[in-house]
Amino acid sequence: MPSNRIGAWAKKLGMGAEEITFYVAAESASNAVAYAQQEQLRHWTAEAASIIQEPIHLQILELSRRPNFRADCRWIAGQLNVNVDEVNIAFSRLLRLRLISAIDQNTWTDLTGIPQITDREFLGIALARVRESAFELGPKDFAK
Amino acid sequence: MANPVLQFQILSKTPDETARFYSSLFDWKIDAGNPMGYRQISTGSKEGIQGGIWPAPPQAPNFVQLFVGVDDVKAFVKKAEGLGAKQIIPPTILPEGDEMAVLLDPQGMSFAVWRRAMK
Repeated sequence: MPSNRIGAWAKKLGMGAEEITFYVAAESASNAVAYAQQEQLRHWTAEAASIIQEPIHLQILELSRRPNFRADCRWIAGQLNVNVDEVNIAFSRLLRLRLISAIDQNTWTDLTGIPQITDREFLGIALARVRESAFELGPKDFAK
Repeated sequence: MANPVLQFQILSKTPDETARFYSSLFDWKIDAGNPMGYRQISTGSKEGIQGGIWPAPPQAPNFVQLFVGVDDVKAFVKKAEGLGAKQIIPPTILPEGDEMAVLLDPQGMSFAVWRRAMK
């Protein structure tokens, strides 16, 4: 129901300004399930946007395949000319999406299964994992 | 084996600002001199637990996670999933040899299980 209609009816019923404000706000906040779903959609849209817009994810996978790779986020940041926080955010995202694994302290393993993966192939796999994760984790908090 | 909370972790969209605030307020020492560039927090007290700051992605709220000590990360991940938890980050060995996983409890709160590296 539009808030101006709520306000108009409430005034006719003789309600005060504070009470009217409450009823207008309650109408907007009434659907907790829809809100949770919107938050979920917002999160997964942001994850997908990061995958699409930030080349760092594929760059980390490519680095991980090099013989001289070091499982050291500061080294990776230097190689990619980014700051270490950007590496850690991307690394966390790659782990969440099961695109990389670290099964020992010196090795990160590319889980895409495609040795010379192109940008387009990576996008296809990564976005499919975003969609799978969205279904699997549901409308809850999942920042990390 | 008991499973104590070994560490708190603050996830922050602005980790440097978070570090500055808490170190100024409580005189906590922040040290990022490790292979992950992880901002380790030393409170300077033997009481309580120490902590750390991890960068959160831009769409996430700032929040705190608990790291619970376990002797077998994979076993506890399996146990947690049996109780209705979901994996967010699968068992992962960090550069200094610690192993951790991040889970979502059935009520929607994330937490980590953590095995410290044998030194």
